[in-house]
Amino acid sequence: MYLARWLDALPARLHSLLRRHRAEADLDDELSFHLEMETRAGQGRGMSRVEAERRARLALHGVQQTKERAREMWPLAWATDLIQDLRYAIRQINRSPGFAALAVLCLGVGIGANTSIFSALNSVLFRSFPATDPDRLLMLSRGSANGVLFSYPDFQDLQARDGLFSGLTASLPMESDLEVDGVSEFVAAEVVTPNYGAVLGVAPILGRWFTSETEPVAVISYAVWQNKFGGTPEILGRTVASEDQSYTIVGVTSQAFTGIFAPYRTDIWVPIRTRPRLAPMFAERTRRFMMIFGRLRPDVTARQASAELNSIDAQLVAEHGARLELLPPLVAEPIRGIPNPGGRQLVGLRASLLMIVVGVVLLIACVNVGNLLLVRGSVRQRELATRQALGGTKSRLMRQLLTESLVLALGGGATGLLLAMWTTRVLERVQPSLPSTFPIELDLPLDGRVLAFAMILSLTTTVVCGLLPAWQGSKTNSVAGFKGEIGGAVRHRRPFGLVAQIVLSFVLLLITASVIETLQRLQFTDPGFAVSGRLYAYIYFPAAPTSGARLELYAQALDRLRALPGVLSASQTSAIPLMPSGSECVSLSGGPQLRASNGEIDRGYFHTMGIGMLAGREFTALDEPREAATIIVTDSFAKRLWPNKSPVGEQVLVGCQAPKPLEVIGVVRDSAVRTVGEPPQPRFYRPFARQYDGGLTALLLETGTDPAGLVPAVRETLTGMGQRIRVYAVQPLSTYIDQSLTSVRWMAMVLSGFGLLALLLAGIGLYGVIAYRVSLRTQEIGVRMALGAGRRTIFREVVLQGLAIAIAGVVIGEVLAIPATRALASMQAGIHPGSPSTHVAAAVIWIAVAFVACYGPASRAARADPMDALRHE
Amino acid sequence: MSKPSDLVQGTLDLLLLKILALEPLHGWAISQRLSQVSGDELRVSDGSLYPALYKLEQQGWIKAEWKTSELGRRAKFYALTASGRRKLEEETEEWRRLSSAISRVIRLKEV
Repeated sequence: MYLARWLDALPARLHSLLRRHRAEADLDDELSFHLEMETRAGQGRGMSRVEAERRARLALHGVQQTKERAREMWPLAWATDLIQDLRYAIRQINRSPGFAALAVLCLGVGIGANTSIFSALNSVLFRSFPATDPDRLLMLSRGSANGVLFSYPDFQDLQARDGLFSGLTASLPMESDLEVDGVSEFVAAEVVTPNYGAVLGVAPILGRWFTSETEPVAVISYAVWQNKFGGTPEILGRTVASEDQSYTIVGVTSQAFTGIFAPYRTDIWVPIRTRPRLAPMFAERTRRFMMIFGRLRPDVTARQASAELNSIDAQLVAEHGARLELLPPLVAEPIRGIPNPGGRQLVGLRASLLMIVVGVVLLIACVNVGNLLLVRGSVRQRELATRQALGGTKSRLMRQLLTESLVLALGGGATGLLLAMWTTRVLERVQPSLPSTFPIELDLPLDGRVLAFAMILSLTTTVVCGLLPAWQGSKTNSVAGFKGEIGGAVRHRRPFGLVAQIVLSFVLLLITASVIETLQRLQFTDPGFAVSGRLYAYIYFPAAPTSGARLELYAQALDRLRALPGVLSASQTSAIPLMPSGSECVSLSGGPQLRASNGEIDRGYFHTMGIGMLAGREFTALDEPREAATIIVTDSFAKRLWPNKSPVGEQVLVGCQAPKPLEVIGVVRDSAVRTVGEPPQPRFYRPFARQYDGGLTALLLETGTDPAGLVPAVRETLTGMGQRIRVYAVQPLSTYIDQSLTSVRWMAMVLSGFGLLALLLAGIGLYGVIAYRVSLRTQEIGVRMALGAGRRTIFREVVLQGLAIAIAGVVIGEVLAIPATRALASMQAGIHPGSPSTHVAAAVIWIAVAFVACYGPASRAARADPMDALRHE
Repeated sequence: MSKPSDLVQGTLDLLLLKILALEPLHGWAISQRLSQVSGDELRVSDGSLYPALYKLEQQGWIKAEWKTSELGRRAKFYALTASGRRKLEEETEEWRRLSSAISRVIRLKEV
């Protein structure tokens, strides 16, 4: 039945599809035959030929309209319509290339900005891991940010008892050093189990992964291979050193795989048992520092795996006694974006914030293009009226106008993608947005997800900027259109789009100004410790046989430096301020626990760093033995625990799991711990020598002269000690503090860029609308001038009209900016809502831009020749 | 202005198929026949007629052929296809069932 009908329909379908011109001619013939017959019939009833013809046409409801509706019955009518619409749209765009270029550029900039920021978000939060079959690769966590870390004994037990994974691997990300041909550098390293490469599914581009836990071999990153070895193909078998251990290179990773601790780039991977220093840590069940990954067997789901892991976990708790803290249940999930939760949070938050900002920029661009289309729509009324008279239905007309916006938006999308290809390269290079000692590398590929995002954005843009103009255009009344009654409606339409645009760009401007203001303030904020005239250096003695011997060498180094001319005092600490340091639980006996950061400092530290003592005494040699139980606390620490009395001589419990009572012997002023400008953080200090566990030391010098001038002498003195000393980063403390602001500075730079872009777009929008309104009023202005209105009156009137719109936008923007800047302040520590003067400055800038935008159209209006204007009609 | 939608959905199709079942006709003749047989009760404008014919043709119920008309001029004559004839039977049957059902409902109300 169906087939028979299909065969019956085939000739008609083929005819109308393949021989379109013939079909058109047939349609023409058929209708003209109909009219002829109808006319004759009318004449037969006694009508004149003219009257009969008129009636025949009337009965057909318009020949063109009937044709149009008949055509719609042809197969693939929508496709042929679309092709027609596209051709027509391209013809329209060719007719006004300036308008089209402006629109494509506006949209391109907006879509490009969004695409590049989205590529960052994609890379951090959504992208699947660059491994084979990433969906079967799961990461273990306990839900929270710290929950991704596990102890080595826990890992061993999970590995021994699990049956659902084809393999479980553990990695300890750590900072380490990498020595190539005698030059040593700080790098991020991973200490991993031998099955690491196989479980993650990351094949090296050269060589192999590990085969044993103890073999002294290493895999290096693509970047190290390129930068340190010039990408030589004879890399395998060469040796590098790390933590004074020699490693033979057996593999090089691919460029796409930068380790599990992104955005930090891992540069060297070594087997787990090649670091004797770590052995004691591996033995303890309570020291959690490893990330665990597992590859699922093909027939198992992530949910089953999680359930099994939790039952093993419960067994472990039963066997090893209840843990002191209650841990959340285990979750095994595929990795999305980057595995390191700290990195996700850090980069994700910023990228989300920027996403909002660039979203606003795109919205402004859309409103701009929408306004331009509206304006053009009213100019094109006559054309639209003609099309309607020729049989274009309302929906067809609307489809046509939307097709025009679609073409513009696709052009914008293509431009945007080109821009994004360029900006992501720039973003990849300008990434030091995080203060760190080792390289950051975040891959920002324009993958399928990003391309889809750009495509969806273009389509959304079409609707956002094209719908209203298309609807307006399709409403065209053919009679009014022919009479040329345009403009009136446009002139009286309230400029809502324009005001909205100004509001948005003004809010962005305010945010930008607030960030810049914050940056300036931070540069002059007192961090609580002396910055100028201070020098620091990291040193390490890899060859020292014991920790004690190493401490002795550190003390000798300090003595030598103190003897240098220009050095006033010197001390050492485990980590200079603003470097990540640990924290501990502290409490009074019976009271609630609170977190305080801890520092390990040598004698004389407070003096060298210019941190004042408020009460009590500094550490002496008596405080340095392991069994000594004394601490010094900061002012805010003291005020939190003992609001009403001096803490000196008081006892405080330190430690989260097995708290130990310590006696407070002194109180010092607060100083910045993590960032300059942060609210005071409770902190306590213990002697460097008592806490020392064998690592690096940071030497701090107070200099009487410019510290930069002392750098060569300090370096020489240190290397002169021999003992295979490692010297890192000898530089003025001010350089380092300045670097710590890169994060805020980077945000300020990017925000300023987008803020200015928004300002420019909105300015163009204002100019376009004012200029168009002036051109509509040429005649009126001419008449008024002929009647005696002065040129200055006209000029003032146009400018005031523009300024009124701008001021309305600024006032509304001012109201909306309050919650916006507050939200920003909560996202990025250290940024405050702008001061009143910042707000005033932003308003003045906007009004100045509005004046510039109105100046041209206003002076054109004032120059109008009354005679010309009157002759116009 | 009467559109096909003024008639019960599909009724115009049924009427056209029925008219063409008697003999092949060109558009104008169909329009004449329509107004003859249905009087003023069912007004089908000439403007709705052609789109409806085109639809039936694309669906394969009717086919068209160019023949010389009574004026000596070429005209497009529509005729039923084999599947069109079956369709007509089905539609007629459907219509009978529907109209008798409706009549029953209406009579029910009068009781």
